[in-house]
Amino acid sequence: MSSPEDKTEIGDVKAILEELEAELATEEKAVAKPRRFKSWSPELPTPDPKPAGPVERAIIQAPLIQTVTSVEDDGGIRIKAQVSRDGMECTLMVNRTILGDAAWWFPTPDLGEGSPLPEAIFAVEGVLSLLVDDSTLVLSRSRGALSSWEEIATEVGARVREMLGAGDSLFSEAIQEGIPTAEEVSAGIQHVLDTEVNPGVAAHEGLITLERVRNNSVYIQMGGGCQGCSAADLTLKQGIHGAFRSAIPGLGGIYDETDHAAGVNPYYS
Amino acid sequence: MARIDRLEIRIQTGSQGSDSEVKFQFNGHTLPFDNPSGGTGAGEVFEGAFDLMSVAHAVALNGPESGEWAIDKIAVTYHPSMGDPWDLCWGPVLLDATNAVNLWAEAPTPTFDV
Repeated sequence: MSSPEDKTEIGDVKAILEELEAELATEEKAVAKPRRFKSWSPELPTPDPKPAGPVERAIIQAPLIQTVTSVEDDGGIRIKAQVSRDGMECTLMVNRTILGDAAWWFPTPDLGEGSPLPEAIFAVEGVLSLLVDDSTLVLSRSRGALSSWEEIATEVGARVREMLGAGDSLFSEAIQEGIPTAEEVSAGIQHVLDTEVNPGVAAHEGLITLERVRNNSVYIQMGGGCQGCSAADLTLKQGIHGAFRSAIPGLGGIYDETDHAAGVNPYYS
Repeated sequence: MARIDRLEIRIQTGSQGSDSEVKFQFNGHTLPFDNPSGGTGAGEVFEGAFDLMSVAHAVALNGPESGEWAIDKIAVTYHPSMGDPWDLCWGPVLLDATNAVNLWAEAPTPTFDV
């Protein structure tokens, strides 16, 4: 039983309920979308994408002067031998100049014919190639050589001492006359780098540069993808050496001054 | 890689000196030298040392924080935990705030008289 007053009240309640439902629906929508409190939202500074830290320095190389391998000079002929870390070569350091201040490369025994010192050295069993550079002799030995480096170096040292003591000419005139000038070597190497070597290693983001020339010997740097590359030694010895030597007859030593441990972008790491 | 007990350094400055403190990097950490002596002005000789007592794989001399430093010669002696010390010597190099020069090289292979 309801009075008109009650009806009115019921109608009001219904109206109030409808209003509340409508408000609730509006609020639910508002909850679904995050509210923006523009008026009191704090204005934070844009975070620095890279936090400030110590500046990363480029590691550069200074020319390494070999002071540990100096040979004492007590008046006699003294020869020290040093086997390379990989065991492939042995360097004999003599306290006498052997080929002036120049260098000559004998890749095979037959190319030493006519020169007394190389002939004597190649007569030692196991010696495969010889680089004479100023007062050093760099030997390589044949694969499967039965003699140890100590045996080979001792025998070569005895022959060098004997020939130096005799005071006779050590090299043929053809070699003495065939040594190219530093200018010829520099121009020739740069041409080979520009036209053959660097276009080839560019595919691996590598770059070979001529650092300096000492008489007829050259010092190079391997940069970019070549620096620290596990194939750098192979590239140098089988590719670059061959290109250089075929372009410049009489080229002396080829030395790599790259610090491969400092490479940051090696191609084959 | 060798374990290094101690590093000793001698730096001959060339025509352009530096006012910055001499610091070096050891395996990526920047450090000053212990008991430095001498100077880094033009023509001066700086000497320092550091007891590393650690395995070395990267050692470098930092350039100055400002300006350029022309070095004529750097001589370093490494004293390993085992074996004989070895000396290294580098020639001229120009350093600044953006670079550092490598001071590390493995011990040379032994020599023998023939």
